[in-house]
Amino acid sequence: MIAVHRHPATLSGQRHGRILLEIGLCVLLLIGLLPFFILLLNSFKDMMGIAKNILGWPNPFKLSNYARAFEKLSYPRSFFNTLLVTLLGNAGLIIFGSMAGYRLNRAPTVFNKIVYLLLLASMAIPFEAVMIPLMKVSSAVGLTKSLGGLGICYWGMGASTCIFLTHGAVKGIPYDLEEAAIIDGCGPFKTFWRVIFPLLRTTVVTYTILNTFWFWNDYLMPQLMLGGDKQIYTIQLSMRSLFLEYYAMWDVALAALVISLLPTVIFFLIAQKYILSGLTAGAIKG
Amino acid sequence: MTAAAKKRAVISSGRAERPRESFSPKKHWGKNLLVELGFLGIILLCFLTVKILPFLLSFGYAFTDWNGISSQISFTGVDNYVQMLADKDFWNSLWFTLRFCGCSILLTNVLGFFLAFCLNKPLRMRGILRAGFYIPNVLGGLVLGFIWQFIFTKVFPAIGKATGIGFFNLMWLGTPATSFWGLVMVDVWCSLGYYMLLYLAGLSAIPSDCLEAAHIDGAGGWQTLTKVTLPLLMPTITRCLFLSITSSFRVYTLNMSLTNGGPYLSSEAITMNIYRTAFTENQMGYGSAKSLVFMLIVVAITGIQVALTSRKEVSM
Repeated sequence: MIAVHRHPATLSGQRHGRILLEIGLCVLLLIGLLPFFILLLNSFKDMMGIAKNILGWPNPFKLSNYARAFEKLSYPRSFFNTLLVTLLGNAGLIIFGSMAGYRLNRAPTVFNKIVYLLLLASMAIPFEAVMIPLMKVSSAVGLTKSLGGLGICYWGMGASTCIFLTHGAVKGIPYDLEEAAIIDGCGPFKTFWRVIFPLLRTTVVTYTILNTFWFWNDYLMPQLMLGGDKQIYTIQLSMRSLFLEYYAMWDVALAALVISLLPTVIFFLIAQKYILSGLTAGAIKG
Repeated sequence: MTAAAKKRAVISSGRAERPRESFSPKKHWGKNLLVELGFLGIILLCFLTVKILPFLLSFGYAFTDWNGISSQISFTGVDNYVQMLADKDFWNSLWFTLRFCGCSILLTNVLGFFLAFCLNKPLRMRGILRAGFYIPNVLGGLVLGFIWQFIFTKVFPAIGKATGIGFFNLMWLGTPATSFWGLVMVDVWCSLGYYMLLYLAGLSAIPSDCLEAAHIDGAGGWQTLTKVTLPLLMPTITRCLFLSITSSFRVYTLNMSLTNGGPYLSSEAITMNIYRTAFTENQMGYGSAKSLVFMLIVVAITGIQVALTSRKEVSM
């Protein structure tokens, strides 16, 4: 450590500095998280309570906001629709994204090199810039107005990042492993799934977590792709129709906001370990 | 990364670059078309369909007057671009987007680096602080904008009334300036945690002997930061800037749910302008022309940024 070289006096000075820094950061964090507390607090108040006593404790304490929000969002249905899209999108990118990243690294033919460059270059194209023709194309091939179609569109949209990250991770895996697998009689697919894929775990977990937040929170693409059918609304879309109907009716709206952000917060708490250490797997290599 | 994985990476990095002559997977399976299709077929098909084909089509649409519904599409040459030159709303939204991106990119990167720099020190509550600062990043889409709409329009006035601090008594979201800074604030609040994590990873990858060497050579804190840490961090900076540029140019959902362009379109970002042209006013051809300009701007800016910052990267 650096501190070892220092004089004891500066060492204790440094320690004081560190404690001050720690206190400062804690205060900053509390301010930063205040919106969550205020949101939660007010979601238990009625309209009167929100108007008169926005900063205080809820009195009377109302749970009825949640019942109404639950119903207005068609929460169970919206939740499962969102879950379905997220699972489908992730499944495709985990399976096909990692396979493609592996292949592009290990079989660098001219065609594959061009494909890889195309994938990289496409990262700079924003979705919003291609959304108009995308609507035409996806309805022509029958991907619109269905949750499955939306999930498949995410495969194409997410391909570049996943392939870029796996491509980088495969680079660090020695050929010997594959050689051994081939000698043992494995074909290309078996070699990939049995030998290589387990080694790509960190990378795959990284992009799957990032993609989960993306798919779960996405608004624009579902809105364009799914059309007006409420049966297949995701949480974000139900949220929009609730806000259109209950404009400025904050009691119901706040409860709805809380239950819509709850799944992502729970997912964060579960995957916390991977997020805080693993989300960065591609950051150094990239 | 676990210890085993690290070990694996160390072992592998030496060998992978020098494959033995006798064997390479390319030789074995490189030319097999079925294998190629099996590995790449499905994802490539999706990628070409939803990204490349629309990308190519947008060049075509941009020269037509297509309205999205009628099958009668006529070629109008550069009419869309002539119309664009006189479209004040479009230029205002572009200017707004550029200002928004400038502020948001600068603040997220500077503050993200600052947090990472602090949280890279051996603090006692480091784990909780990291998790806490990351949390706003799990929000997204409409939820983010709607929460802050409540905070700006209801909570801020209440705090202002209780404390008398002028900052809270501003007409938040009611004037062009407060709408602009409101958007920047929420965007930074939400994305900060992610950039903090990326910078933390970059910082922890800097070998401690480099920093020790600087210290022994008599470099102070500031000198070490600017002469050792930052140059070694350039790859991370390149990546973070690229990510923040592409994501801040794409601001749409936050824009829509927080200010909805108001007051009087003063906070309308370019994506929202494109959306309105294409899907509300049904001018798909004109919208495509705008998207094309938008795309060119993003590609040009990220291209310049990557070229500039990656040139500054140093090897250890």
